[in-house]
Order: sequence, then structure tokens, then C-alpha cells
Amino acid sequence: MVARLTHFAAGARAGILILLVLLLTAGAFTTAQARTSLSARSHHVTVAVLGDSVAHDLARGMEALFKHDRGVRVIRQTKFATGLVRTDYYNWDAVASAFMRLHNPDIVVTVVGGNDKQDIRVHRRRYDPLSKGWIKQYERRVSRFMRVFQRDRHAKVYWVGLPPVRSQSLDRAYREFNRIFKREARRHHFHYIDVWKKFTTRNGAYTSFGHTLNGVRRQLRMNDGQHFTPEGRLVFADYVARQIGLR
Amino acid sequence: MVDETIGYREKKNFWRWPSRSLLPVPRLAKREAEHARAPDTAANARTAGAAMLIAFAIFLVFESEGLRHFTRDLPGNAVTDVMVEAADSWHALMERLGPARLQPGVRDVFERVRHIRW
Amino acid sequence: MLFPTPEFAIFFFLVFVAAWALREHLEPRKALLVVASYYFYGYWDWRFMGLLAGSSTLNYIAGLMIANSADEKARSRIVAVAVALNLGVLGIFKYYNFFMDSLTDLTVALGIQRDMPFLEIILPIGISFFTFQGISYVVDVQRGHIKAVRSPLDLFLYISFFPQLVAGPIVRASHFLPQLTRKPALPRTAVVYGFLLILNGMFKKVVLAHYIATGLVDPAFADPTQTSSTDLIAAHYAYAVQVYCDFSAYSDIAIGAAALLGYRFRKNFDRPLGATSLTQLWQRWHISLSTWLRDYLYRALRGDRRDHGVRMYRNMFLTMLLGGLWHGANWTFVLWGAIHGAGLTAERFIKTHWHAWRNNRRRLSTVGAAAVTETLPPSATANRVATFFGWLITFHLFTLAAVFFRSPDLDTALTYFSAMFSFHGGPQLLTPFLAALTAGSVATQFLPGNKMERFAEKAKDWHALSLGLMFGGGLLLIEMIGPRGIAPFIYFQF
Repeated sequence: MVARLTHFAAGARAGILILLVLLLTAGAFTTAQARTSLSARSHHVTVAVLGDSVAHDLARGMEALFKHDRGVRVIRQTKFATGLVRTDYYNWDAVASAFMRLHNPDIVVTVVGGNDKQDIRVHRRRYDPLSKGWIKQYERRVSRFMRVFQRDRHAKVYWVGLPPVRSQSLDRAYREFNRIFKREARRHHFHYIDVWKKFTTRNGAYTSFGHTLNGVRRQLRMNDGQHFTPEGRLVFADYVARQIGLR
Repeated sequence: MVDETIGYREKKNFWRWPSRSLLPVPRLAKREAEHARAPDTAANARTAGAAMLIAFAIFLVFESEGLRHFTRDLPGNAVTDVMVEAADSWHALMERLGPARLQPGVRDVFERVRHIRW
Repeated sequence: MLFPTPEFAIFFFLVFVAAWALREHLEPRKALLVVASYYFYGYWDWRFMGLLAGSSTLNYIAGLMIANSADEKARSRIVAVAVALNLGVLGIFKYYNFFMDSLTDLTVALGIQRDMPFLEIILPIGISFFTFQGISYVVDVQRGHIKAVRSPLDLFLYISFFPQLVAGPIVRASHFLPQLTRKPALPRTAVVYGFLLILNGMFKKVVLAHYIATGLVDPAFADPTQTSSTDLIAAHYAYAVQVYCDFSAYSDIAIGAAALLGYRFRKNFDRPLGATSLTQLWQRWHISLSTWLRDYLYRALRGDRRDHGVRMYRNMFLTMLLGGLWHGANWTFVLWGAIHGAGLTAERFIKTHWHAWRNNRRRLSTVGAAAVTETLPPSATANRVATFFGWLITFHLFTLAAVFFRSPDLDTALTYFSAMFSFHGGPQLLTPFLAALTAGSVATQFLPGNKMERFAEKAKDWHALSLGLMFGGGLLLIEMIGPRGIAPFIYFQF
């Protein structure tokens, strides 16, 4: 307990002081997030968001976006770590058709596929991700899932493509998935919303940063290089809402 | 946090359980005897290993469905293909014999409790 | 690799078997544990392994240099450089973008908005924890609390040992390194205790924390304006319980796993929600971090002299403020730290002055010799009442401050409070089940702290079969009622 600490102590003290001054100055100027006010609509539109954790981000963004808008009601059916490959784990076809019967939404927005870079196993056969056989099987699954919504003649369906991610192998897979989604959406007369370019650099590479709704450059993606920060969710939701025509 | 009375230095008794000095020292910590006796580590490790194997066995029998998911999570190759198939037939067997049906039953009761309203 | 997964179960079993097979061979055993730990860490992202090895090398060399230097000034300089490098790495990975974000705020407020040069940085899991361990090692060598280790294997294992690697407890070199020089032993009580801790941790994480989070806390914080006051009040208690369950669960499993491998970690949580003062709360909550902050941050602020008066209060406050900031680069954490810092200083101030005032009064009254009753100690009832109020205030300060901890930004936190204190609406999210989980978890905080050790002592003669049935059966039950797919531990992000 008698060891001299002068250097360590002085250094640490100076460092802490600088840190605090920087922090507090910045903090004093922190601006509250600007809220986007929307004109109240006379009719209720129910927007259902379905899918995996990316859909969850989108749904949370939409909820925040339309918090003060009585015209739009956002409901969600999202489940982390699910997709169309692992039907043994979670059966989206069954969940979605039960959901549609129960809620009868006006607009359906789906984002799935984030967890689908996995082997597909059918009848004792294994298809490696993105192999020819795999793509055929996956197309079949996407189509089957889409038919669930097609059966409901009331709802307008929007299929949102996956956003880019930091992991390069996953990123490559997502590009391929999006091609499948786009093709299948067209076949089923759904609207396909391409969000890819919204979240890349000019060169088309993944970036965690981008401009918020207020036009300020901030972190939009979480540290995992996959999900969205609260700011990012708003940007994501705003982009999708504009494509749908809600904003 | 700034109380200087609590030293963090190594206590003399190595076998003292992780416990704060604020608390009464657990009875167990005072047992010098075991330390003096020098625990039969090899035998105890065997016991612990056997207990873990039993735990695995319990899971294999009652959580055969979890085994199915697990084998499907593995990277696909000739070995895991066999494992997937084995897990499928194992689960089918457990369903037929009964143990695999315990999980849905327990879950049912639990979900009912979870959804009780005021 | 996450603890509550089959992957970890298999990994741990294999390491356990290999480690005890190598019991007689100390060095190979350590090498095995280092390899296993790096595998465990690299499971997330293999690139992180380089950083971990780099950090270990830096602290290993610094330790040796300090040991080889006789000059006190030179030693201090080495420590300063080593600490600065450690903190520098942490600062870049964890705080660089936060500063850029804060600077963005500043430029926006001043109307000179600029795009800041954000960096695409991947935050390595557990970086705070291994950085803190590295710093504690170097400083302890300089302070003479431990000798510098000669074997790099020892230091690599100390920094990377997988049970504590990603979310603590922050193990002290002075506690862990001596254990590496002895032949590892596994008393029977350690086996039972290890199993019990793992079971307890799994239950807290998989059942308690999960259902409280998904059923009550997450929806309440997602949109406080759409949630009734009753639910918001319940959710703010529930969140405190959730963080406790989540974080202490990780520590429990870590301590249990280490015990099964023959190593002792200190307790990291000691029924903190039952604390009757803030001082006590911080002696019971994340003990390894609060003692770390006390020994390295507070002492660094204080210097060599003993502290008193304004300086002491200032240092206490700063320690808590920085402790808050450590949790993450967000203003909500800074405010959370500030609240606890203010609370602690106020508590210390009141206690000191109250004691002085009471002693004064006693002295006066005994001099007067008239009021004998004045000199009597306070009655047991009065004590109990005081303790109860102490708990009530401490508990609520903790749960209310936790709202800032949970909210993504200050705006949400303020909205939460205004909606919570508007007092309208009955329970919508809060079900009897969730109420029971929350209240039950708080109630357990008043049970004796050594319950589990006592049980381990009783059960130490159990046959392997009974032990296996207890462990396996317990895990099975948790698995059966738990959700499919487990969210990562809250403290992974810190």
C-alpha cells in the first residue's frame, strides 16, 4: 500500500479530466431528437410487419415513426433466429396464415431470409447453401410462404429485400437471396422493395454509418454489423414507408 | 465502493469459498479438514464427469427434439448427414416410447400458468 | 460461444475431461486451457484472437520490465505507458465513434454541422474485461502485491481463461496467478457447488431474465406512451431484476465452470437488491468491478494521501461517473453514473454528519446527567425501521436510475418517467406470473447468502448418479420451460 503512484495517478487524472470536459461540453449541446409529426389520417391503415430480427428492427422503426399518427397502426409478428430454411424450428407458413386470419391487416410487409444461409434438408437429402439444388428448394419455400399472403385477397403485400451486412460471405448470400425474393415477388404480383443501396457506401460496400432523418451522419447499424441502431431503424422504416406510400 | 476496510488480497485460507468479508464466512470455508486430507481429485473428477454424462443422457432421452435441431445446426457433411438421420430416428423412437412427450406436457402446464390474468 | 447452448456443453465437457487427464502435468494443462480459451473466443470472430494475444503480450512484457527495473521512477513510467496503451486500445474500440457522435451533436447545436470521420470498428466482445485484468496485473506488480510472472503461459491463461473472458468476473492477478503454480485439486464440495452455480445461473438467465424481459420490460420500454402506469412501474422494478438475473447468471456460470476445472473465483454478486445502503449496494453488486474501480480508479484519483472532505466526495463522484461511462458510450450511462455518484456522496455526507451530531448530543446529555435515556442505544425496533427505510430508499434509487440504464436515449427515459408518474391504467402487460417472478427474485435477496454452499456441503457425499440426476434433471426442467433460442447476455456489450 506504500507504493508510489504519482505517475500513474497524475496521468490518469489528466486523462479523466480531458475526457470529462469533452463529454460535458458535447453533452450540453445534445439536441433532442426531432420528431416527425404526421398529419392525422381519417382512416385506420393496419400495417403488419412479419419476419426475423431484421423485420423486428423495421417494425420498431415503423412504430416509432407512426407513434403520433392515428391513421397508421403497426402490428408485428417477428421472431429472432428464424427463416424459411429451418421449418423444424419455426414454421413461418403456419404462423403467417394464423396471423393473417387473426389480424386481417391492410398492408403486409415481410422481411425474412437473414438466417437462411444454412443447409436445406429434404427427404434425407442435403443441399448446400446457394448450390443449384438449394436455390430451387429455397425458391419453392419462398413461393409457398408468399402463397399464404396471396390467399388473403384484401391485403397489399410488400416484400422487403435484405439490407447489406458486414460479414462478406453473408453479404454475398444476401445478394443472391434478394435476387430470389425479387423474382418470386414479381411472380406473385407483390411489390419488392430494394433497400440495399440505402445502406451502402458509394462504392456499394457495407457501411455502419449514414444520414439520419435529420440529415446528420451517424451510426445506423449495430456493432454486430447486421442489425439497426434506433436511428437506423427510423431510416429503414422511413424508406420502406415512402415506398409503400405511407409518407 | 470506496470503503478501504475491505482488502482484496489473497486470504490465507486458499479453500475459502468466494464470499465477501461482510458476510459470515460459510461453514464450509472453515473446513480445514478437507484441505488437510487432500481431496481425492481424480475420483472427484471422475464423479463429476460421470454426473455430466448422466445429464447428457437425460437430455438425449427427454430432449430428443432438441437433438434434432442441434444436428441440423451442424455444418453439413457426410458425418453430420448420418447424425441428422440418427437423430431423426432416435426422436421418432422417443416419441413412440413416451419420453419426448414429456416436454410438450410440461410446457403446456407452464404456459397455462404464464398466461393467467388477474 | 454462449454458455446456455449445447455447443458450450460439449466444449466444456471435453475441456473438463482433458484438463483432469492432464492434472499431473501443469504446463501442458495450462497450454490446453489457453488453446481452449482462444477457441472459445475465436468462435465469435477469429480476428479478435490477435487482439487478445496482443493485449496479453503487452502486459506480460510490461510486468517483466517493471520487475527488472530497480528505479522507482522508471517503474512508474512503465506502468503509465502500459496503462495508457491498455486504455488506448479500449478507447479506440469502444469510445472513438461515441466521441464522433458527441461532436456531431456539438456541431449541430452550433449550426456548423459537419460529417464526422466515423470509423468502421468492430467492438471485440469482452474487451473491457480483459483490458481491466491487464491493468490490474501491471499495477499490482508495481505496487508489490504480486511478483511478475515469468511464464508467458500463466499470463496468457490469466487474461484469456474462458469462463471469465467475455463478461467477467474481473479476476485479480493476485488471486488467480498463485492458483496456477499449485497442482489443481477438485474437492467434492467444489463439484457440487459448481453444478449448483451453473443450475442457478441457467435458471436466472433462461427463465427469469428471459420472461421478465420479453413479457414486460421490452414492450414497456419500446413505447412507454402506449403503456399503462401500472405496467411502467412494474417494468422499472422488473428491469432491475432482469439486469441482476442476467448479469449475475453469467458470473454464476463462470464461477461454477471454473470451480469444476479446479479454480476459485470470488463471488461477484451478493444479493445486491437487498442492500440497505448505497455503499452496501456497491459492495454487493458486480463486486469485481466495484473493487477494481476502488483499487485502480479511485486510488489513482486520490493519489497517495488519504482522502477527506470535498476531495473525497469529488473522487467518489468521479469514480461512479466513470463507472457509468464504462458501461457504454451513451449519455444515459453517464447520467446513471452521476445519479449513483451523487447518491453515494450524499449518503456518506449525511452519515458522517449524523454520527458527529449524535455523538455531540450524547456527550452533552451525559454531561447534563439528566437525560439518561439519551445515552441508551436505539431500540431494536428503531433499528429495524431504519434498516427497512434504508433498503426502501436504496432499492428505489437503484430501480429508478436503471430506467436511464435501459433507455436507448435520454428522451425515451424522460418519456418513460412522465408516463409512469401520470398514474393511469391498470395492468396490461403485468401478469400474476411476471409479478411473481419479479417479487420472488427480490425476495430471494433476503435469504442467507451461503445457502448454496451449505447445500453443497450436505450433498457432497452423494453418489455420481444422484448428482447427475440433480444436474441433468434441473437443466432439463429449465430447458423445457425456457424459450427456444437464447438472447445473448446483457453484459456482453460492455
